[in-house]
Amino acid sequence: MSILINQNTNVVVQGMTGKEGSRAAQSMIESGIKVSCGVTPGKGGQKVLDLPIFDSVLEAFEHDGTINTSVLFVPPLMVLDAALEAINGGVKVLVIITENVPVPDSAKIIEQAKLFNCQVVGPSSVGILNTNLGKLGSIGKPQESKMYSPGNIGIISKSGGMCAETALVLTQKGLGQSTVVGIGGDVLIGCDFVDILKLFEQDEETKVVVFFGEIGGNYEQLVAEAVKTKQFTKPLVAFISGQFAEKIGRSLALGHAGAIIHKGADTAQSKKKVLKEAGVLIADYHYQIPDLVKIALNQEK
Amino acid sequence: MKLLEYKGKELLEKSGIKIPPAIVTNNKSYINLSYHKENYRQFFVDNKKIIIKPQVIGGNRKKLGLIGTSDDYATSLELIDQLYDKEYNNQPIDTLLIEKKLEIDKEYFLAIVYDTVKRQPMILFSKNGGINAEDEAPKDLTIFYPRKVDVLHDFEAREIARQVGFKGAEKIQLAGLIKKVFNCFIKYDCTACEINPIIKTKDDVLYAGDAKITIDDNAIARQEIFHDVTDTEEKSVLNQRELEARRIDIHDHRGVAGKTFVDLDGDIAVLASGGGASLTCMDALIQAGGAPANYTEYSGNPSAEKVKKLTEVTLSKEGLNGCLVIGGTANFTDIFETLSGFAEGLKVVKPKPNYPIVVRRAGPNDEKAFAMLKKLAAENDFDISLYGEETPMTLAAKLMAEKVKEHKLHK
Repeated sequence: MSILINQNTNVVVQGMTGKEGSRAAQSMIESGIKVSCGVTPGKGGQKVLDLPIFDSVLEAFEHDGTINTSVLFVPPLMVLDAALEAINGGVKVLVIITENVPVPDSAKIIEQAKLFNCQVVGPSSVGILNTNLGKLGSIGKPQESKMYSPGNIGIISKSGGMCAETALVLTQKGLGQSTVVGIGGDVLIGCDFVDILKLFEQDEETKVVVFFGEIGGNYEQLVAEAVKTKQFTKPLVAFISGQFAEKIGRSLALGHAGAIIHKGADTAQSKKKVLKEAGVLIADYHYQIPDLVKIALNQEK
Repeated sequence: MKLLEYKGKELLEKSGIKIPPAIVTNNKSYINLSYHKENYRQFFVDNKKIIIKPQVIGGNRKKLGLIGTSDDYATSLELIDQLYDKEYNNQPIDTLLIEKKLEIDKEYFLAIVYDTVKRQPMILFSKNGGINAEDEAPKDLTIFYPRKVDVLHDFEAREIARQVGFKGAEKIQLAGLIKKVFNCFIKYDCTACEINPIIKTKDDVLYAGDAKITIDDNAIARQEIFHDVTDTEEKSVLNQRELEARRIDIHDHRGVAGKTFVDLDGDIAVLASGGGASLTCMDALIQAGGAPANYTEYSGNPSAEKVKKLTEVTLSKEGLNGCLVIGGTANFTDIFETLSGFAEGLKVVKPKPNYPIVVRRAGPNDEKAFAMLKKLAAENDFDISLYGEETPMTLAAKLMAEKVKEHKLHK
């Protein structure tokens, strides 16, 4: 078992004619994922990586009815249209890699996805990786890298870079990963920590989850609620970044768009506090994560 | 982008919401030009009593004594002069909004923002608006979620007005206003739209008494009416270096560089990559006793040119004792291209950096990049230490702090 990616995952890449799109598509294929075709309006009939490009998602579905996943690389202001097209076309997992998507557009995408029962990851997601099955998006390939190794630790991170860095510190201590999910750091995101935790809860492959949170917003506080209400019952390790930003003392967006510090409730300290109270293990330094995971694994036994 | 009050009110007026009659002055001598003076005199005669408000981003103007009211023409001219001599957040005041002082009967609070849990707009209303609701939202807020993320039906607007206790004609009037503000929020891609207060005058008209509106920066490209809005809106928050860094992104949309730049008090320049990694490294640097001179971040495979500009801006600070170029292991960002940009920037920085430089980067073309930096260091006598993925990021930040300590001892 796994989450978001499985043996039947079959992908249409929207924006595959672009530089980032084609590069990621190639790397997805090399990782073991089936990429069926690409969609770029106006470029139908072309070929990229020997795969057909269509003008619309509907044509892509006519070509291959088993497509169930879209990975999206189109420019920011075209994301809304492309995402609605994918959702209405019937994909069940939509990974939006594009950054700088306007918040109102994300709201419309998420609203529509609920109606069609489609899981949206992103915007600004680095992608999703399963160490056995392959990867979706810009995240590294599981096979060739020194970072990822197969195992049973799930990782969720707003930050794409910290997906890799967190996997790296685990791998260096002999702790392999099951699925790694970059949920994106935007103000509005399709799947938050809790949405992914609920998937990990059902995933036999995953025994412990590590999540990388940051200042701003309140998605981390929702995790504490989910743990308290037993929506997630496996051991959970968290690292929250951005403490320094609180010393600056003005309202500014740092790091990701979602990390806007206001005075008070959404600071790293307050997030750590509510998580700790809920029983989540908190790493004060990033390199402590593997030690805490080992403690959690022992508790499991 | 945060709009100044008068710009926000322009948007509201375009959306059919009443705003008080007004004049905007954009420098101290403006009102003294004979043409403007005649205009202002007439404005005063028409409106009899006026309120003068400096146009700044941020609140507390009244508590800081920056709001003037007058019903005497000569006194009002003096007030305008006096306000131009004051400062807000250590910045001079360059724009004043002079409005008719309305006969206030009641003051309400209305705001529309996105709720990050429900992922949709939420409408907040209180009957207790005005100065008391400036620091924090009023306690008796009624929160309403429209059924759709981009439409507020008339019946929903009436429902909000009923929920907050309005009846009859008052209910219909408030519903009309809420609907117009919501339409404005959607039409102009706002992420926040706060009117505090909504003023109900003694003759039963609703006006926007203030406007705090934020436009989604990512939507500005499709909102032409904001294309000529200049940096002045940001000036009260950002300093010169921060503004320069921010400008790097404007004409080149490949990757992000300098969109966030915060000047800090320390002596270690930081060029970090990746939103999450940059925050983690700043924490680690401080934990190790280092003092960052700035926070900034570049990511998403920016061009060498953008990284060069960001390097120049970052290293333009006086009194630096170190420079940390740091990030996780990239998948696609071309390390050679971005570090070439850093190298180009380093070459032109004056005075020539003699302090330790620590680079921790890994990813595509990192070996080629490190060879290039080694050569650069040898040719120009730079003190550059290079670390790859074998060294944890947070450890590299610690090494930077130690090298800076050492450097200061031998200075």
